[in-house]
Parts: sequence; structure tokens; C-alpha cells
Amino acid sequence: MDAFFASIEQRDHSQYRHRPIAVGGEGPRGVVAAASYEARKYGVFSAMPSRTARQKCLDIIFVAPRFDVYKSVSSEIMQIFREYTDLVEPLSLDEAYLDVTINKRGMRSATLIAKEIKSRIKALTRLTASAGISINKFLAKVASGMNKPDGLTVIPPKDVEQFIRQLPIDKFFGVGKVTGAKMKALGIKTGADLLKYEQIDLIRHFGKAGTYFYNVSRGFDDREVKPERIRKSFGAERTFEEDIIQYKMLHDKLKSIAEELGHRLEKYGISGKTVTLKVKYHDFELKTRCAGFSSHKSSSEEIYTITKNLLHSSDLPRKPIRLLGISLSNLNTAENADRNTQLTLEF
Amino acid sequence: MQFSVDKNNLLSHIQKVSKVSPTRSTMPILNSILFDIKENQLTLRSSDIEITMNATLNVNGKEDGAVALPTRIIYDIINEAEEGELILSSDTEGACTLKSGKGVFEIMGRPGDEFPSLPKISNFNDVEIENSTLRRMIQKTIIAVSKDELKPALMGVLFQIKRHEIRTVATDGHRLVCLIRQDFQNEAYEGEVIIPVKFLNLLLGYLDSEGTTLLSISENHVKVELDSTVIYSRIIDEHFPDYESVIPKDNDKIISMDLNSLLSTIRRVVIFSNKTTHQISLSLSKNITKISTVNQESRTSADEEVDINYSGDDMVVGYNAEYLKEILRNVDTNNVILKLKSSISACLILPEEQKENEDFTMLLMPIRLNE
Repeated sequence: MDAFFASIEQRDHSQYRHRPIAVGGEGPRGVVAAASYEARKYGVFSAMPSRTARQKCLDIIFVAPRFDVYKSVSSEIMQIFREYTDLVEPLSLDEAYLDVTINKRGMRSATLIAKEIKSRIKALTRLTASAGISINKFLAKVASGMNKPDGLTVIPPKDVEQFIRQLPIDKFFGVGKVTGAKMKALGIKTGADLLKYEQIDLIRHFGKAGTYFYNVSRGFDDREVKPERIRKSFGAERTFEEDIIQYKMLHDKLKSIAEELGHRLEKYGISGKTVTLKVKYHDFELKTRCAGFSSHKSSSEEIYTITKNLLHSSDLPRKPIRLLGISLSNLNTAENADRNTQLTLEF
Repeated sequence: MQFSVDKNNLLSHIQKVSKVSPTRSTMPILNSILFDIKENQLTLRSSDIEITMNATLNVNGKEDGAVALPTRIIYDIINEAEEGELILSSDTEGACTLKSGKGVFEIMGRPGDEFPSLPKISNFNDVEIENSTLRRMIQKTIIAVSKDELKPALMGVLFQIKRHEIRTVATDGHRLVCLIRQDFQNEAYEGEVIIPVKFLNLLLGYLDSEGTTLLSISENHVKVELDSTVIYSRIIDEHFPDYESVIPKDNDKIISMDLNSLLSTIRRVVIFSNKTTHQISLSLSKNITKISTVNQESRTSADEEVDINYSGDDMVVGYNAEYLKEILRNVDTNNVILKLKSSISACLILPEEQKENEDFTMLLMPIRLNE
């Protein structure tokens, strides 16, 4: 969807239409969750601190998010997708991969399906969507972002090679600021530059992602569209209204985060063997500390005790903290559950 | 406070007590050793709150008093000091001067009264145990003690003491060791306590000589006096799980084999196993077992056969090789007996024959193998 949250706000409030708006809090801690296209012209983007957004665009209007509305619109859209295929893999509330190789309507053209879905979304929600169509997830994703808003981009098999060769490196899915800078330092500016590298060299520079870059630059991406993504971690975090340094207050916050996480874990029947504490300091320095266990953890008391100990790790800086987060990984979910397990005495 | 003492005499005592000082602590004072002079007797004390050690030695006292000095620095300087006499003096603020040979060293300590006092304990029950027995009872069980701070009850060894029997038990949930001795007499005490592993490790350092040790047990503490040294430890105030209920009685697949050939085979095979799970499998068949491992990540594998005495059905069972090795090293007969029931239940590991008046049982839970 195009500027999803912001578009919904402009749809529902005529006074916001054709104006630069940002969904998100304007307070000192606020972050832009979505920016309208009018705001983007000023260089305002999602995930930007609201203060920076204000500096870039003095006239910007901040709108408090209404997640329940976004969620209900999201489920309407997902419903439309599922009328064409069950192979729908949501990436977020407003974005999903669809595998329409075999589809419920028996349609032969993915482009026609995309056109139909776009117009049905528009009719139902009065919002615009952009679609990308190609031979694999990587290319479809890149294509979907090419002609926003209200775009429809097709990369047919015969054009794949040429398309990737000219594709700027920062348009590759998975290339953000850090990887982008690294790529540029290596002289990789486009897909064509990437093709010059051997797999082993890419792995040396980018670890596991090296294999991914090697493959996608050759148009090869065999990841399936998975209707339900297997969760690899489960977490909760909180940004404080004011930075906190006192341990007692941090413990209280940690406890309530652990409780929130514990409730959700219980609800979904999830447990995990690795507990990670995330600490963001007032200067945005980010530290994580994790602890691994031989048995699965899920109770909020255990998680609290573990993360409290982690918080006291002597190598963590002692300075005001703006955010604490806890996540659980190494989960007991299907993929891991059937792995060989060390059995325990049952007292 | 002021006294003089021979360097080596002081050093040997500091070496002892420094073992209790925690490496990291939320209470900075615990990273120091208390020096307390009364007339010609110096008492050194260290503590990590759970465990406190007192060591006394004779010195030339000039002025009574006490000071707590940082463990690391006092240990290092006395270790490096020239042979001969040392003179230590301090004021009431904790400022301390050490003179050794031509050297003068200033150390900033803390006033002695800031150091935690000895636990106040009354109503000790004294249990006398032969050093050799106590050493064996600790050494055999300590390998199974848990390191999981979330299971405090398992972070020590359970001592069950009766009039004519003493038992030690430890488990981390994956393995369990239980040693029972019947050649034991005691009229003073019947009961059970969980003793922290750190205390037992300290105690092991004193059990090499012949003779007996007096284990003094109170409601919350255990204490041993060893010549000039006294060690106090808090008892783990938790409920030890009902270990007897998990010791299988009907394991009918009985295997006996040469301990050393089994151990050396495992040592070879484990080189090829997954470095986190250390998983190996034992494929049992008539009179032979194949010990194998496959590591998918590094694409390595190993297979080796070992002769055994076994006449039961074929069976494949997985173990963490590190656990199995530790348990087998604990066996002190030439042959070892394994008693199994199924590939997902506890295996009993026993010596070929029990020592007189002793019952020594070990348990290991397998790894569930999925094809």
C-alpha cells in the first residue's frame, strides 16, 4: 500500500488531504511511523525522529496513529489477496508476497491479477496500492517499489538480467545504510558490479548474506512464499518518556516488559532457549546481551530474573537508558521442535 | 593496627582465604580481605556473603585493630615482596602502609568494621566423617551439580545423613549421581542439607590427609574447622527434588563393556560431533555397539565399533558425549555396566562391582533422536 497509515488518515480527514502529514507522536521521543507523499517531498520518511521531521518540514501535521483502523483495513486487503491464492505471506500490515503461479481464479496472467487486485482495493478502501510482478520474491519486491504510488511494474523473465545489471545497489532488498556503505566501499554501485564478485568474496564481506547477494544478482532466489512466516523470535520493548538510570526504576520497567512478553508467550504457547536484553542509551548507543539455556523459558518471572542479571552485566555502560527490550529466540516452534532434544529427568 | 610477620607465612594464608573473595561483586567491600589483629593473633577473613573463611596465624602484634584491604593488590604485593619480615600498619580510616625490605607501599583499604561479620550461628550438630570418605563422596557427585541459577536447589550437593548411612546426591536434570556409604557411624545428627558447590570445592583442598573432618550443621549454615582455618557456608534453603523416584528399577537391557575402550572410542568420535550438542549415538546390537556421530554443518561423521556383552534387542540411543564422558570417567572399575530400558528413558551407569559398604549409581538422560 502507498503511504499506508498516512493515506488512511488523509482519506478519513479531509483537512489532511494534499498536506504534508506524519503519523506518529510529536513528543520529544516521537518517531514518524508513516509520511504522506506531500511530506516525503520535504525529505520526511518513516522511522525518522519527529523532531527531525519538523526541522525538514515546518508545516508538517502530526497525526496520532489509529492502529485498530489500520489493522481492519489490512485484514480487508489480505482478504482480497486470499481470494486469488492461499499462498499469501504478509510482510507487514500493508505488504505481502503472493504466489499466483497456480491461482484460485485460474487466471493466466499475473499482471492481470495485479491490476484486478489494485482496482478492487481502490474500490473497497479508496486507497492506492503498488504491485511488482516477477519470477521470484526478490525481483517482485524490488519491482513493487519502482513506480509508487499506484504503480504496477513487471519484470518479465527476458528482462531480468538487464534489470538487475542496472539496478542501483541500495535498491536491493537487504541493503540498508550499513551494507550499502560497505558495498560502495567495495566499488559495488549496481547489480552489474555485484556480478563481478565471487561467492566466497561476498561471504567474506557479508557473511551469510553474501550467498544471498550472489544468488539474487544472478536472478536466482528460490525462497518460497510461506503463508505463515515461522517466527524466529518473540519480543517486547518500551521507550521511556524520560531517560532512566536508577536500577530500581529500570527493574520495574523490565518487570512490566517481561510480564507483557510472558502473557503473549503464554497466549501463543511459545518458549525459547535464548533470552536477549536490548538496551538503547540516551545517546542512541545500542547494546544487547543474551543468555542461553539448555531448557526452554517462557515464564515472565524467569525472563525478568534473567534479564535483570543481564542488565547488571559489568560490561554494560552505566548511563541513562531510553529503551529496554526483551526478546526470546531459539523458539520451540515447529521448525525447531522436531530437532533432537536432550531429555530431562522428570522429578 | 600494626604487626609484623614473615612474608611466606602471611602469603600462604592469604592464598587460602583469597579463594573465597568473589571476582565480581555488587558489594565492593567483598573484594577485600579483612586483617584483624588481637594481641599476637592475626585473623584473615574473606567472604562472598554465602561463604566466609577465617584463617588465623601468629604474628608480632604491636597495636590491635582491623582493616579491609583489596584482595588483588595485597595478594600481588605480598607474593612479590622480598623474603623476610613484613610490617603492616593502618589507621582507623583504612589507610595502610606495608614495609618490606627497602620498599614502602601505601594501600587504601576500608575500616575493618565495614567488613561483614561472621554469621551468628548456634546449635551446631557435629558430624564426623573420614577424610577419604568425604573426599570420595564429594568428588563423585560434584560433576552433576547444576550451574543453572534458576534452579538453586540443584546448585549444590544433597547430603542425607542418618545414624549408619550417609548419602550424597547431585543432579542437573540431565544426569544424576548418588553415592551411599554404609560404613558410617554418627550419633549426633539425622537430616539432610544441600551444600553449595563452592564450599565443597574449597573443602576438597583440605581432604588429602588422613584423619577425619567435623562437619558442623546448623539450621542455615554448615561449618568446618581445619587447623587454623574455619569455613562457613550458607546452606541452600531449597527443596531437593525427589531423586529416588527417577532412578529406574526395571531397566532390563544390560550391557557390560571395557571402560577404557569405550572412553577412548567416544573421545575419538566426539571430535566429529556438533560442537554445541556433542551428540553421539550408540547403536546396540548383539555383542557389538557402533558409536557414531554426524555433523551436518561441517559435513563430518565418525563411526567406530566397540565390543560389548549384550544379548538384548537392537536399539539406537543418543547421548551428549560430554556428559557421557564425565560420567564414565567417574567409574573406577575396569568394566562398566549400562542398564537401559528404551531410547528415551534414563540409562543407569554402574561400576562393574560396588565397593564394600558402598552403593554408587549414576543416571544419564538420552538425547531424543529424530530421523
